[in-house]
Amino acid sequence: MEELIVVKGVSKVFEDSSAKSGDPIEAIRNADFQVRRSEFVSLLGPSGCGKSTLLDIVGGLERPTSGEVVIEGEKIKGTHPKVAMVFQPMSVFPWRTAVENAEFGLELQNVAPKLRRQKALEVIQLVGLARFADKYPSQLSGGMNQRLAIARALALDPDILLMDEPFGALDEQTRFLMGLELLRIWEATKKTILFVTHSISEAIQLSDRVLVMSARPSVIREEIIIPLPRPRTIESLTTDIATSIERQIWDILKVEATKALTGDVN
Amino acid sequence: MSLKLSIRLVQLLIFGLAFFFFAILSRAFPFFPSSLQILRASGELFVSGDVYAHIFITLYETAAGFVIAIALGIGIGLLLGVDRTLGEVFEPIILSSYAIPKIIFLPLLLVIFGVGISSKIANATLHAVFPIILNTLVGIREVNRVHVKVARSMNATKAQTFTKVYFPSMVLPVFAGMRIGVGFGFLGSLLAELFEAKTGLGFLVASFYNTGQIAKMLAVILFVFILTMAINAGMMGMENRLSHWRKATWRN
Repeated sequence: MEELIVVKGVSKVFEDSSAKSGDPIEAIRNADFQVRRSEFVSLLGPSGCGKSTLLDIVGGLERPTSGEVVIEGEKIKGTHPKVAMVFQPMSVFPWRTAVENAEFGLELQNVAPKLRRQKALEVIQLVGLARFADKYPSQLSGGMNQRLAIARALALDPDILLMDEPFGALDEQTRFLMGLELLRIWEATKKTILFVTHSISEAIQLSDRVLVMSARPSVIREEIIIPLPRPRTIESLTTDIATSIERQIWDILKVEATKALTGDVN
Repeated sequence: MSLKLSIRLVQLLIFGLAFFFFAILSRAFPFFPSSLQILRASGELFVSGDVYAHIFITLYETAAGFVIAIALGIGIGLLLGVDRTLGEVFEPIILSSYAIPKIIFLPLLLVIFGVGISSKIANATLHAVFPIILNTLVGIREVNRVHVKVARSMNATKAQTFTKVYFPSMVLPVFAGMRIGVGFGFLGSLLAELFEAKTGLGFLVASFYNTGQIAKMLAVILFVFILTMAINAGMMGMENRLSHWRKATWRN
């Protein structure tokens, strides 16, 4: 199956909105895109533009008002077993140790204790937290906790990872390093990744393709292919090509971000 | 000397000062017994064995009231937390009721439950239930929505979401409510016994007061003080064990 994720004509209108006027909020309008196997695609847009909602819809947590999402050839009716999500910090369970967090999904599936502990330790190892398996999230840094969130998602062996601004709350350096870490895990596991972000540089650092979204009602304004070679290093990310792509994206995004800022939205 | 040791020594010192405090009181007030008299009275009470039946009764009333308060408190708290409308209607009522000195309802409880042990248990329940309701309500409201989202995204059933996300999130606030509640329950039993009873520690205090046995009265009061500290220490100990995941840091 070449196209793992197909989003067709997805729109989302929130009827009982908390908007002052009480009018329904049209969050997404006619989103259409595909993601191929093992691709890394980013959804980039200004704050509040509905990209998280779109990700929730692909993940089966929200129903679209119209349109459909097809995953591995089948229209989804809810959550898909081969799709795992990673949310913004702190989504790890503070009352569980790292390895207990990692085995959460397996626990839900009633996998035997020995087997799920083994699998959990494998993914903990993969994200580089082997030494901290028995530590609690309060003993780990923000970056480590996000790696744990990724491990927890990977424990169920999904084909697709949906990531909602996972590095948003981290400082700039940690963010960049976590990006490299994520790419390392991606190269090792060959997962298909759909990544939501509001950071242009992050989208360019990580993705094969960037889908630039408008302010609400969100449409996909532009699809930008990132031709930069992998692995993406600080050198390749500061070349002229990279800079011109960044400027190109900013020109599109500037208009949308201003709309979001001034409240000139639906 | 480590900080912990220093703190303990100061606490012991303050405790020791209590004896001097009593000595001063007995000099200043003619009817106030001396420390020696209080000690002798304690000996009479605790060695003769009379007091133990009363201690048991009070503890029984507190425990029974507490257990009922837990069932009622968590039940109501969950209901109000889960149902938005019910919550909006009843939460302000419960919040304002919290401020009412519930002891004022004791005569009403006596009318309904009689002068026996039931009215004491009812009073204990009445006092203990409010912090449990409120803490349960807050506990369920403060469950992190992202945690619930994680469970949903992994296709958890409703039961699994409750046991693996809601319950662990709520343990600490609910337990804190229970810790406050047990203290209030103890108070409720004692107050009811002070007012109208034939058994219990509160009854003993009132009875010794009425018969002028001040030393024995003070001995019982001191015992209640120690008992309260013990119950509280026990609850705090449990709470500390339950919350070790929150307290862990890089250092440990």
